[in-house]
Amino acid sequence: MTRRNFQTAQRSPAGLRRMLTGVAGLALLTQPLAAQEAPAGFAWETPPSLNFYGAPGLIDMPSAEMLPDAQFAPSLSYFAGQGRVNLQAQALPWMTLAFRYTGIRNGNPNQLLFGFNTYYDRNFDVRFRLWEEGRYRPAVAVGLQDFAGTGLFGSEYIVATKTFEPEALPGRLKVTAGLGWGRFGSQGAIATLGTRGSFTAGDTGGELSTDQWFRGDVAPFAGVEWTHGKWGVKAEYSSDAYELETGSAQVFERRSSFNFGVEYQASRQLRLGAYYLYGSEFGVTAQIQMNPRHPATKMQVPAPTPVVPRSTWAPEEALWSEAWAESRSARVKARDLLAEALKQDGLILESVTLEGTRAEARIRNTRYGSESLALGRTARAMARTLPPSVETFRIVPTARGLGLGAVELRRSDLEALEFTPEAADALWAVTGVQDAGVASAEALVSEELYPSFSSSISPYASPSYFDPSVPFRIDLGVDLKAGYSPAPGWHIGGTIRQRFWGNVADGRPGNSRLQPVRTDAREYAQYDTTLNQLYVERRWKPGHNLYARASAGYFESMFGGLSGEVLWKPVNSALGLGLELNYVRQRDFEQRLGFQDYDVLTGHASAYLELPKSYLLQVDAGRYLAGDLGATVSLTRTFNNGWRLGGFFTLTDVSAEDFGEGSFDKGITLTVPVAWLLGQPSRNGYGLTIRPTQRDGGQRVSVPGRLYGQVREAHRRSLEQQRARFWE
Amino acid sequence: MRRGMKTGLTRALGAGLLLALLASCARGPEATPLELEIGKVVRDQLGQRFGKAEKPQPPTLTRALLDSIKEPHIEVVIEEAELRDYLTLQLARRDELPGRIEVWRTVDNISFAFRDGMLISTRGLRGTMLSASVPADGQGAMGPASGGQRTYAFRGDDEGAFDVNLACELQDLGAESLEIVGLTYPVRHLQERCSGSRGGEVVNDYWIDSRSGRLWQSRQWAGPSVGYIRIRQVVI
Repeated sequence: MTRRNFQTAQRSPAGLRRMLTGVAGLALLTQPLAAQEAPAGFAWETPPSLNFYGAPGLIDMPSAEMLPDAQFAPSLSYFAGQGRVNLQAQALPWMTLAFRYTGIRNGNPNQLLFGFNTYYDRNFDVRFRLWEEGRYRPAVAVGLQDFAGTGLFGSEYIVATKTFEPEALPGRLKVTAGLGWGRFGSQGAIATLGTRGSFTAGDTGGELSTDQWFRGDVAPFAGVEWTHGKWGVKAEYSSDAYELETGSAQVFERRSSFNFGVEYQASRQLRLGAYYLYGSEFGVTAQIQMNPRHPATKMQVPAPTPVVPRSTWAPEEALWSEAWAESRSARVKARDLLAEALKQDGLILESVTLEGTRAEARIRNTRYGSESLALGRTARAMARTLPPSVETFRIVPTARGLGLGAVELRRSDLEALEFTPEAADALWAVTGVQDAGVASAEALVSEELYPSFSSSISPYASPSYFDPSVPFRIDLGVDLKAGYSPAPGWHIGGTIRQRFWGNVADGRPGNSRLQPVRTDAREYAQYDTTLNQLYVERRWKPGHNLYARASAGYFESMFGGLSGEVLWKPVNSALGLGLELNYVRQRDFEQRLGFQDYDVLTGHASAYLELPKSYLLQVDAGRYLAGDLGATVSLTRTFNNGWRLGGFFTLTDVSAEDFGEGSFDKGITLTVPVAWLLGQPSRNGYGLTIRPTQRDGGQRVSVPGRLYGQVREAHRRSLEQQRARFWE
Repeated sequence: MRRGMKTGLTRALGAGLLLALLASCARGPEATPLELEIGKVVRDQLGQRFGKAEKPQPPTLTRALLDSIKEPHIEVVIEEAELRDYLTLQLARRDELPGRIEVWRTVDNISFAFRDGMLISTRGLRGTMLSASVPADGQGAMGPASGGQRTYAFRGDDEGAFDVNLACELQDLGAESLEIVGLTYPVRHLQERCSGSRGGEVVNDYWIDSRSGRLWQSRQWAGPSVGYIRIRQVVI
């Protein structure tokens, strides 16, 4: 209750406190293993080491190990002009998926490699665990590497790995042996199974190379890994002949099939390796291990104010009267007290409806990634400020004035349960989740909030990938953003973008048989000062379980127009259905106010389904920007803390020939939340969508403020999974 | 030449971006852009590194100093981080379970809650102890009333919690005399030895006044992230 502290401590209170908060956090972060004999924290499995392709394995060859579930492992490797950037994700406990970007340097003075000095290639892998390691039985996995498209790295394998901890040797020994096809069957073949198909030059690619899988020469490979503490030693026999690289590319000479290496675990996240390969080359790897369930920095949130039971501060019967609710001035006073209390926790009161025994607070949460935490803080603020007669709290999280969901709880439960064992489960059991509904006509809207104006100046980075000559391009500059909300549900937003430096403008000009709705990005990148967005948006609840949005203006750099969306999503349902209709026109390249001639009516019917293991399935069917008809399927592992890792593909009535390279639109998405990285409350995340090739088929307009993502966060499933954060 | 230009350009670019990052700002009731949040962390780090070296020394306690303070205070030391702070009583109450609940907090919002002197939650530190069941009997003397099962819930996993279950044995290590800043108290030393259901051992120590039953000092486990904390009642 009091803030007085020791006089001596007060001389430098800020510093002392900072020490306790900041240094404590840092010290704990850097010494996660220091807890001597006390019980360990949330189980953190040691992941297997990775190979040059980023897969669990030896040096160039794979092993049968799997990463811990949901692990995300980016890695870099280089030897003999072979540079690889690998992204490996453990999608399910028995399945890993990988995306790779490789560069092969050409060493042949007389001939370019497929027309380039460095040939860049993108490929996807998938690996399945057939069975886990047993006491006598090795783990066995089957994998398909670079299974679609050109298949430059195309290999299939079946591999077994067994771990030993021999008494004669400290540490751990892993022995791996397998059979490889394709690239992994090119050296020392022992048999041939059928005929292996090959990639037809000039094909648009993108299709599964089923005519190659597990066909042609088969060769054995094997190796051992010995790990002790932070160190690891590896040796392997490789069955990859590197025919292209040692042949026409002349980039190195393969003198031996044996590879050797040493690895060092620099930190829990980082492993470094140095190797001697193929009797002639040195190589290095850097392997990063991340898991959405283990934050890079543990979250630190200032302590909340505990709930004080009303019995202690309102002992007299008279104080419990409901008479105050009759007086407008008393209600306004209660509203202002509540708004002030919420402000201490960084929350914003939109409106409050006060009755004698009930109160509904609508809040805006711009600080915490977790709606549960925001709800907990709001409930505490209500318990602290509202008159004793109010027993039922209804809290409605909102986004741009739209109620997303509602939780209802009893004040006496808050008072009774805060310090009980398993307080989170106990409170959740007596909490109701409901449709948000619309704010009552009696609601006292926050006067200091509307009309509201907000602005920000912040740097931006806009990358562009996979230009064959310069694989990574980027524009850097500053965004000036402004927003104006005249009343709940209305929003006008705009962004002016000023580029300082960039090389996206030097990219490849697009070539497309379709209307160039995305491939003329280079033309759009020719201007330094652009109006990135300017739109007006209205959001409202047209009915029970329904959410609606209407927008007009310049939505993104390439398109502007009109957009409308309706979403059906009951709070307790895993299923949501949406309908979106847009009439958009292509904007002028200079991105001021003008438009080009091309306009299109585009829209989709969408189904969203929450699956087990945090998977979210989304299917959108409709008409795309180039006028093509079809559907998009996306499957995303969506963690409560904001991590998202997923893939999508779109099939439309555009033929592979008309679509061009890749045959159809597909890609992967990744979001890493800031709060996970920094351990501070935040709603932001680094988002990334990587398409092997950006074409014009299957493209959607990017409308700001789509509903589903925000609505879902305030619904039962998400709140229940995060119930532990309510009391935090 | 070209290379030189490129380095110059890169440097200018780096400086420009850093400036942009430092000069960025946001106002109004909307979410802060990502780049600004990162910028703030960069600024804080730079401030810590190049700012005025402010190395606060925790106060040296004397009985005279303590006597001049009216409000109850406890001293909390986080052993692993070697940090010490003095906390004031934020709330004292009871609920339907036995034992008196006390919440003590620092000025910058780190709080510890105890039931009859036994730690039941931490807030504001990394690796929050969400809740705990402790053997309080509410029958006068503070500290553990018996051995048996203990359950802690800590923040972990994906915005969730994980439990640590302990089986504890309570031992009375007998009478001792305990000195806290110039005053000596006759105390009984109780020790809990607990083993985790998934391995690990926890030892909690309590020094309880032989006459009043007040807990003067303790050393308790606050979870896998925080480790052990030491608590002393310096002003009642």
